[in-house]
Amino acid sequence: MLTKPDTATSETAKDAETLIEVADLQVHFPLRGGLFNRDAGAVKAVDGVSFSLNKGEVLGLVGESGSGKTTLGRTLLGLNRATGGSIRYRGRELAGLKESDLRPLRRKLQMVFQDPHASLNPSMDIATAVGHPLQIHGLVPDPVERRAKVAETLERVGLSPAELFMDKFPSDLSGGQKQRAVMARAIIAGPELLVADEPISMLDMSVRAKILQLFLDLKRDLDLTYVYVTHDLASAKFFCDRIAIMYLGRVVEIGPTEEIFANPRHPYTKALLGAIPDPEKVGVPRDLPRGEIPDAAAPPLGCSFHPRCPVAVAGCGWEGRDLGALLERHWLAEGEDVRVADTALFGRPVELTAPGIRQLSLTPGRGHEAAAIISLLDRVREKTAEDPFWRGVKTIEARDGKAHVEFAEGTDPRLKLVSNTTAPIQAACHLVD
Amino acid sequence: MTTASSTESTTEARESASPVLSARDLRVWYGSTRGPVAAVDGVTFDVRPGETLGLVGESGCGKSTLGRGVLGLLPAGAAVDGEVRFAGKNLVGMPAKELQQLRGPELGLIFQEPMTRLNPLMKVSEHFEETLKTHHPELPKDQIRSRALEALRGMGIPASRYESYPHEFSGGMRQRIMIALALVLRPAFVVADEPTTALDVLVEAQIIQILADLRRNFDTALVLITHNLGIVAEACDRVAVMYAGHIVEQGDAREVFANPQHPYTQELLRSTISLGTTGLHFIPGSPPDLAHPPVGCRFHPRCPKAMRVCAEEAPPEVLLPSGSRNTCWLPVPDMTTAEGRLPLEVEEISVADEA
Repeated sequence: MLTKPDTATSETAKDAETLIEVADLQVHFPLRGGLFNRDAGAVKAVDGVSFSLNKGEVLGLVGESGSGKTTLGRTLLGLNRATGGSIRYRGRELAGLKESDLRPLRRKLQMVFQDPHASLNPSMDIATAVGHPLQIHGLVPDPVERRAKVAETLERVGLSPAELFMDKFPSDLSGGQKQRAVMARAIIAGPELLVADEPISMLDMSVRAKILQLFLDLKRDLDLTYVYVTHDLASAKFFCDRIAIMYLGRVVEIGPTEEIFANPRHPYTKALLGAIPDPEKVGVPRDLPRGEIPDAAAPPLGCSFHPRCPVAVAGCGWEGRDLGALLERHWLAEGEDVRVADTALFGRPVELTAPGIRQLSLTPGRGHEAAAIISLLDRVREKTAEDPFWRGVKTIEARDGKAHVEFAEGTDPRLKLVSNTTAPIQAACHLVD
Repeated sequence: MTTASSTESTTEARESASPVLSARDLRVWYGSTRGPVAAVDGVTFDVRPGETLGLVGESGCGKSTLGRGVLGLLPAGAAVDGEVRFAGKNLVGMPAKELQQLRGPELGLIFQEPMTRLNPLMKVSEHFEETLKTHHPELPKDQIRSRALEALRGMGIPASRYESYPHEFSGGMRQRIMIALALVLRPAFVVADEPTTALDVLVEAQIIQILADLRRNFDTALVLITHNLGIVAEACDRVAVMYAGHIVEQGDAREVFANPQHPYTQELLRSTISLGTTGLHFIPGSPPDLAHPPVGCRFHPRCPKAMRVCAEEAPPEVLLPSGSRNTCWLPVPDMTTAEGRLPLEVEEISVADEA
């Protein structure tokens, strides 16, 4: 059995050479919409991310779809434009670099994409595809030499004998073989950093371990540094030295892999760990956070995770939408008749769905009074007393014929150092302040 | 929440109940340019009310074909043989019209990709109206609405979203809608084909919980097709492991995962990357071409425990003391000769020979 090589973990962070330094990185995609295609805000795919990456390290970017992990990985290589902050590669600023200045650097910064079927040109044979970077960067102009270099690289990734694969087309290869070819193409120009975006998630389970082993072998032989983008915590646990847990464009927790798994600090990290199905644990009941990752175009106030967080407190950023969601959950439990009766009490409760409203004034529906809304809220509160939502409610009162609900002011938790005993661990949560 | 004792008694009740659906020696062939491909080759299993059977295996092992074959949903050109007994009738060879009557109210299917299975031009309400009107033309409009809302409520979809279009939902919610749509007619038997593959970890866990509640609350018999062994361990009562068109091991999910008996199950479990993984392990080679499967046991070219007999004769299915069924020569020494039990000399398999 092959075991995890004991490499970068043994080095202390201080002696190690910093390869990439990311500071307050932002990648915002502008939204267009409404009348005259005017500016309608932005999706903050990556919103203020900072970390550094040492040479020889494997950093995992872990999160759900929509967490910004893929965008972050792509931005490191300049495949997405940074809209703010900086990315330094060996001290050289990459953010804002022109494509023509970035291109020579791509030799050193390579990417392996998720879908091996889509990352190879179906009408280009393997030898040409794998040799392409050499051609593009003008490294090996002689076609014969280039072919020899391609053959050597194919052997290195396990496509052996290389002669058998050189003239084949992607459609002749299995998924695992295609991913090997993609990796051959990524390493042929001699990169330092490889960003691998879910490189094994599309592969069959019996092939995943083989490809992961290949990543480890290549790292050892070629002295590579990896950024491993994934939603699969099990492979991240095995593969990564450090893990950054991402949620809605932010890093919410970052630290050494063992620490993240043994002692998760952020409630989201805890939730993710609890959700992993494990063949060694049969039928364990789990407490899952409700709902799904929110819309990045209109993120929640305060901490983005607060609407799903089981341990949220008053200052986490409660708002009108959270009351709307609570009522929906109440109606799901109580049934359609209760919902119809209850919704009649409100006029047009846009304030229950619009983002960012901390002081609600709910207008009663025709023939109803504000007091009826208050008593509805009291009833709901009785049934859902355990819900963290109620910790954020400051006042509920009837005034001027309307029902007013005010929430406690919330703040956005920033990533801060929570422990530095063996290595720095940072988390962004009010509970670790 | 059920207590331990009541869970035990329901498990007993389940075992004594007669199966909702029984497949006997089911075979499915596809035509190909290389000759007929036996995607499912002599498969036998039972599913009882309220029971979930997990069907696992690598891509191309025939698990999806088996799921479709049971429901009679195979493409033209596929041949089916054997028996699928449901409510006293054999579904194999049943006239297409009669089978279609059963699909929906009796037999349900939950697809892998909720994104592509809902009609983007139809509101959620229209999906439910179509389904309910087809099978219950007598239902008045308000009853259709209340039944649909009830099914959606069970999946955690608020009534306020009833008039929304599929694109207005997230992937997880679309999968819940798909499940509600399959369950609104209360089928006795449901096939879920990789229902969580396209979903995130947390949403996947939520869907698995929904499926677990399903068998508790409705007595639905479920066949859950997946390549994720963790899901099977969590959500299934029994598990059937498929390799190259055969079920090689089937039994109680806890038992099979705790004490896998078939070498393929053992290798599959070892090569799965889980939280406990400390070293990588993989099965050499790739599954065989089903147009020309290996003689004898189909797993023998990749099996670390292969014996000479394995390359000559197909192994028998034996009932082990644990209650598992295992198709392997290893546990039956008295049926083989001493020479047959000598280790098989296997050819070296290249690293890149993989799926």
